[in-house]
Amino acid sequence: MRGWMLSPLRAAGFGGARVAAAFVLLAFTAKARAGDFLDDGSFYFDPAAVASFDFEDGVPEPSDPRDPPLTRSDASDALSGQWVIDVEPFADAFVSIDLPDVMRTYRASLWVRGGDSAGFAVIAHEDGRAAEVAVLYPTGRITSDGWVELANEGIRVDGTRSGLGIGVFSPEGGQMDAIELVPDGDIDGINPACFGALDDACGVGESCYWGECRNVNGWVPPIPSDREVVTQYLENRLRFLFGPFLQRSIDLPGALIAMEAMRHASDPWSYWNSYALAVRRLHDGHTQFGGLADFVLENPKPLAICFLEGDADLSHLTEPSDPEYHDVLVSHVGADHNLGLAPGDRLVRIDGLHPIEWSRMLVEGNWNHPTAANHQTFAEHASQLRSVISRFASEIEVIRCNPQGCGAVEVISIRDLPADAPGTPVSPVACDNRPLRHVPTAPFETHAGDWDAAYAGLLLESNTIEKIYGIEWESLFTTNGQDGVGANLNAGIQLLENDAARGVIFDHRTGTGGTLAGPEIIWDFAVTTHPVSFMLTRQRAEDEQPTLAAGLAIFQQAVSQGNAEVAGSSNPSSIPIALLITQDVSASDWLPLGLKGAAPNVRIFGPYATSGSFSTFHQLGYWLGFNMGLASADTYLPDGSTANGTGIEPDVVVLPKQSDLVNGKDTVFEAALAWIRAELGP
Amino acid sequence: MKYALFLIAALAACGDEAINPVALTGSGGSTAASGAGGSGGAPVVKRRVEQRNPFGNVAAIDNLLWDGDFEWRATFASQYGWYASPSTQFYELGLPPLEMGARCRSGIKCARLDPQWVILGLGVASQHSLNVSVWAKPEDGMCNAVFVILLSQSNSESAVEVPAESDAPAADGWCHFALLVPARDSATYLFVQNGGSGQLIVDDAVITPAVEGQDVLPAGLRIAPESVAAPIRAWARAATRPRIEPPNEERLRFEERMRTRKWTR
Repeated sequence: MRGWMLSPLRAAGFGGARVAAAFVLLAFTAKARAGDFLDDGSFYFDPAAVASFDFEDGVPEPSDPRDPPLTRSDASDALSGQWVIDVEPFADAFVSIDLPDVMRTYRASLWVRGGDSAGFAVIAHEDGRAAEVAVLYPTGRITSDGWVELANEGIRVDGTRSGLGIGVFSPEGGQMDAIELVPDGDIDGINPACFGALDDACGVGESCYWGECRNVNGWVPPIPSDREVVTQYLENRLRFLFGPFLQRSIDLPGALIAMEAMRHASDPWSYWNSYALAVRRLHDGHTQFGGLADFVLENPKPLAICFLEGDADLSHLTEPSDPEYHDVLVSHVGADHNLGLAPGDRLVRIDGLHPIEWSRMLVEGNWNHPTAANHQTFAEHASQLRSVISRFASEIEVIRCNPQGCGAVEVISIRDLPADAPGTPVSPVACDNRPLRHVPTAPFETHAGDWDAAYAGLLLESNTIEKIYGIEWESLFTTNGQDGVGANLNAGIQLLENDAARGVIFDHRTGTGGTLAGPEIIWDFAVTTHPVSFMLTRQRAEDEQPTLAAGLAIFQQAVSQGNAEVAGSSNPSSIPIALLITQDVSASDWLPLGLKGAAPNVRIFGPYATSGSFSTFHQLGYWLGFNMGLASADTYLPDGSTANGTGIEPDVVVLPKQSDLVNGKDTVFEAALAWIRAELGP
Repeated sequence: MKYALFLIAALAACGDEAINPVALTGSGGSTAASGAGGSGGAPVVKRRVEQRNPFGNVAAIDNLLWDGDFEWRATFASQYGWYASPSTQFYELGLPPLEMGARCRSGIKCARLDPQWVILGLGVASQHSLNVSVWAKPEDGMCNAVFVILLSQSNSESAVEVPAESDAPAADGWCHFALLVPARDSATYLFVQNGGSGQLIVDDAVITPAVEGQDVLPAGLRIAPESVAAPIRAWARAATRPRIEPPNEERLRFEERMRTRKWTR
């Protein structure tokens, strides 16, 4: 069922004298661009609306034809008429609007009440994919009977190509009424082609995604009418609450410069993206920004290729290494959507830049931009290449290699990749910094482990006489040692003890953090009891980097009061223990911190230092449109220094080698295995 | 429940101490909708419409709380500037139930507490004295059944009760709790307990550094017993430990929905 336009008078249920009153009111609102209220509180739609829904004549078909019909209920206090749409908890309700065949901008709005609800409008083309999204934010208009208006304006749509779905998602359940779409501007053109993030083809409020300038203005609210106040309030969140001292010293100034642009931005995207940029510039593992588009927009050109940083030892004659960045290699690929690349192939450049340099450059516009807390390592960038190449790159240059050698530099056009047909399956391969899995129960094809999974067993490369075991896992989330990953991690340790393992490789090359109860399981097994650190929530708004002496006093007091983090047990294992690291955050930083230098039978293997994210975070967001995590603490070490921003160096620095990858070898793992075997002796 | 009663009793026992709350200036929130009305022969008013600041009380630009007005709560947040628990057993680290719209005092969002529920707002301290202000609307109309305590992370800094300005709510149903407290060295928490028999709406909490000349401290502060403060501090510690947890149910449901949904043109 198409969207339809109701007479504002019928929608408001007017008759007789009230009609005259309504006309008088409308006469004074010649530029009305939204539904409004009469003096008695009755709602009427904007007569200029191209579509309006108040559900008086039934419910339109849901925007996804496979969905059950929308549910309407009779309500004497419906915002418009007598019917509302009920939205169950965790459910959504969307209607489709078939737009006039013109290019223009619209104001989209709806009213909600009840529990937390988030409104948004999705622009879709013929293929049924979500191509663009506009979040509906509160306008500030509310009613005494509980209705809240959500809207956004200037939403650019090409009606010859696109339709619009509009509705709400409600985590808590609620009601929706009075959906309205009103033209609010004319435009000449829309969505020009573009050649990657470096192309300046896109205009204000547009960003180059998948080869097309897509509208991002709708991701954000309008510029606040009290701009200076909102800007200062948000700036003070960073000034007062952001915890890591090193980042406060070296990154906060740049973040505040980014926020200065909010004071004179002339369009919503420039205003709010300046804030998003400020958050990203804080350069911290716990400090992230994200938005609704991450959930809604569907990638038409997915890739199933995983990259990591390494040593392209087979291809340096063709293409020397960059003086600043490690080489970037293919770690593993899915069965499809892999551009014909294979493990060991080298990604030389993206749009003319080293892949890591190119990825770092995306900080300006990529809301999801990842970062380690330290300024020297880029594992997060390597593993995100799979998604950002597809989204932001125009072309890549690769060198294909095999055990016999490497070819020349080859250019692959990303912009010319055809979009997948809707519904095309994609290999669900996860990028976990593990070229190979080594424990028999691990997910070899997908590399995708659950949050609570820890795969333990005799290594495929070992045997029941040698008895070298492995545990491979990602999350360290457990609140009590039994929930989350706790039970499986403890079971893995138990297996080592039951089977009298003679050595073990803990493969934590993608550490997604968790709680400190996670690393405690490993610490207790591996090292003798010792104080490790003291994480302290930010105390005062004015606090800056303490001196070493002050930090030492804080740490010592924490130890004396039993508040410091303590690793280990009284009777740890004496077998050789190797920890593999690459990409980590939070509790996955603490894990090597508690092991580092604590026992001669423990060694850490990896390409470089950990993230250095020794904090925790709290989240702030604005409706469903955007959210951020902000690190709220820093951590004191036994010498009085603060830890956030400085990662834990591996005991053995080892980079994945191209020559190993093409031969099906896992360099970092092999180094750890060789060390354990040497420790065990003949 | 038992503990809640204890908390109430413990605070009441301190009631004869001198209290000299400092009158605070307006917090910047707009007034709540007054509801449908009309009198005499006036036409029936179906509803009243009000304009709020959709960003909440941002006028308190130097609010030391993470999100005093509840406006900046991310939809899928697992770690936020407020935590809630159904009782003072403090077993949970959930987020406050959300209220939306005219029932809130300022902005669009606020917290809704059933009887005995407690919430804890996280913030930082300052080198200056602190102005503390929070508004609560008890369904049972009893301001003195709402308990507000300002705490510090360190147990060397006393927890103090933030008193209501009056026992009965104002005409709009809101109770205002306010206090000026001396400067503190450690992180600041604001604790609110619904000790009443009906729902409680909490909104527009502001802790700001006192400005020059405002550092005139009250003659006496009502100190919350350590037996009350210690469990709250322990709860706060649990809420501020390193924690990256799996996506919550809300997020998983939404992700799944968006992954499988088709959008018709």
